[in-house]
Amino acid sequence: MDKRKIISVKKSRWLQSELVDWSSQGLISQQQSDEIQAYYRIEQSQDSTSNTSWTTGILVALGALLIGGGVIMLFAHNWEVLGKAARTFLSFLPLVIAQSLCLYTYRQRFTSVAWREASAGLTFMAIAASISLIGQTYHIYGDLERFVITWFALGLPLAYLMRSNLVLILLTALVVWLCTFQGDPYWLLFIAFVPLWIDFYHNQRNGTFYWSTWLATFGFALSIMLSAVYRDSPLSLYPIISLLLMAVAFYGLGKSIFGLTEMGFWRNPLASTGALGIGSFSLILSYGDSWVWGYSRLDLAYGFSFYLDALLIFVAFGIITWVLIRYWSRLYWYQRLLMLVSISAVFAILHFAQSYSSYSLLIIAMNLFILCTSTLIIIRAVELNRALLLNAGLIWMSCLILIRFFDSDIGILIKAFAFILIGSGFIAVNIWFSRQHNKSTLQNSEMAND
Amino acid sequence: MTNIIKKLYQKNVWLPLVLLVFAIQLLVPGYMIFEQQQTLQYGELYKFKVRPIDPYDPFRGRYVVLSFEAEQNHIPLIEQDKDNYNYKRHAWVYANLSRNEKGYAVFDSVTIKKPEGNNYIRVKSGYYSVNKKLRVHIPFDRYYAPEHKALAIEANVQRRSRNNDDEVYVAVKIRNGKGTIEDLFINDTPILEFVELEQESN
Repeated sequence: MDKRKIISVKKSRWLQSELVDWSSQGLISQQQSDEIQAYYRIEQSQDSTSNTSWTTGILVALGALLIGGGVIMLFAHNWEVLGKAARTFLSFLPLVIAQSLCLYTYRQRFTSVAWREASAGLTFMAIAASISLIGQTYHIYGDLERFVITWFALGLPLAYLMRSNLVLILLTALVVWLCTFQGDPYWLLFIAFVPLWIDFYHNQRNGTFYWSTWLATFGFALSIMLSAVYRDSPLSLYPIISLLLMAVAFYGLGKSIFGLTEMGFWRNPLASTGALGIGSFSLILSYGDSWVWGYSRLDLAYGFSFYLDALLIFVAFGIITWVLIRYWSRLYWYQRLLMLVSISAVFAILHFAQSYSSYSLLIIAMNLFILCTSTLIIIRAVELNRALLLNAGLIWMSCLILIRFFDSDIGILIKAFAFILIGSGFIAVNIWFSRQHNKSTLQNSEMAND
Repeated sequence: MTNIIKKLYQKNVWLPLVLLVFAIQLLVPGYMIFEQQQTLQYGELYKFKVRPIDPYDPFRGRYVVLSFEAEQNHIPLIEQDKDNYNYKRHAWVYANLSRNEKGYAVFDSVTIKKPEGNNYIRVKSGYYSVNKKLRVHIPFDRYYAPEHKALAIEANVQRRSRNNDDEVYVAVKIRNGKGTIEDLFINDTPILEFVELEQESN
């Protein structure tokens, strides 16, 4: 077992340059320098190679899919000259070839991402091909729902057995498809991905991992909402607020899974999707119309799906509360506010229980929330010197201001006063911030001089 | 959890598992073929009168979409189901079959529970009317045709199904509620033969 400490490439570069400096200054001997170097190990030494490896993996897999598709079309074109027996044989052929490729990959090339992804992806497509080619030979009717479910069930083990992110991505697409056209809660199928995803998280965090996580995050949200549209569920009664709640839960989950320190937009798919969601849905909820908060009709079908959706709301609340309690002291104020906005969803539940019906206060609160949080984000971004975060804050705030400017529900006079007030507040905050900033720089430079 | 997944890749676990999965992947389409063959061999023959259109499905090559005369009307629910029927669109129900005076298949009634015997098919529910009658959709709605013949087939079926002198129908074998298309006929000639004969005579 390697007991060396793991550090990133960047840190190792810094360490090396410092070591050279220290030994040249006579602080440490060459031997000590070597010992210190030997004490550390660069994180994922295959980092650069794995990067090229997964890129090749994806390219090879895409190539394999194209070849597979071409072969299928070739068969489909030359169909009528072949008898039923020949057609049946040919329907199985791509599948058997792809399966053999998987076996070969396991024996010879299991460490190669390209081989794994390509053979798994090819087998996944070959399943669909053989089912539909047989369907064609026998004029089996086009019940697409059954077709996609069969495809999903037969393809899922491939993701596990071949450790394939590509198959995971394709399966995500199938679930989203099922939820787009069918009312049943097929989004539950995402649960089948979780064990593999956890494994990838610990052992194979490469580019494809982030890709599949991004797609699964979006796919999951999309699936839940799309399938909710088909039924009178609590989610479709309060669509925007449910989405906001889900976004907050995503954000909290992302922060707790991938770490609280800002890791960059791309490397925390859950938190980034969540933040995007909070930003856009809060803007919609800041609108003066009550319909965006929820429909008032309460004729619901109380079945399995209803209770499942209701449960989902409580699960989201559970996640948010847990993250808030556990990490409260380590969260910045803007992060706390981003998560606390989920309280507004409590009002949806109260509304559902018919004990709350006035939204005007909520709308004002939502406007204030965006204003305060975006200001805090801008401040934090300047402190951290992070352009992406700064722009996010600025865009969010400007959107709010633009929307309010064109909001015809508010009287011009009130609007005028509000704008003047907000404008003055904005300038005041900026002046205060730059003074604070100057003060701290001054202090820092004095300390350095001392 | 990660440990369990790690164990998955040990040779003595992975190989049997993957062989099992591959076997199932092959058995599923295999069973589909078996089921179709059983229906074709032992099923009851019904003729469904048709009116088709032709879309393009890149996955399956060209096919002719069939629309049946039997699905044009609202079909009454059977007496027992009239009071306890919870209408849901696109749900599976069962339609009882019989033949009209010309020998074509017609639906008598719709039931929620699977009927006895062999004279019924599983169909998808369509619109529901106030007098407890239901529109249904027959699921075997595709006739796959060779790419360059699909258009000719479609044109023929379109023209001839409107013409009262021509009889356009699909021969379907029915077994255990499922139907398998035997062939598409125009005036008792299989469609591919009919199109070829027509092309030769032109």
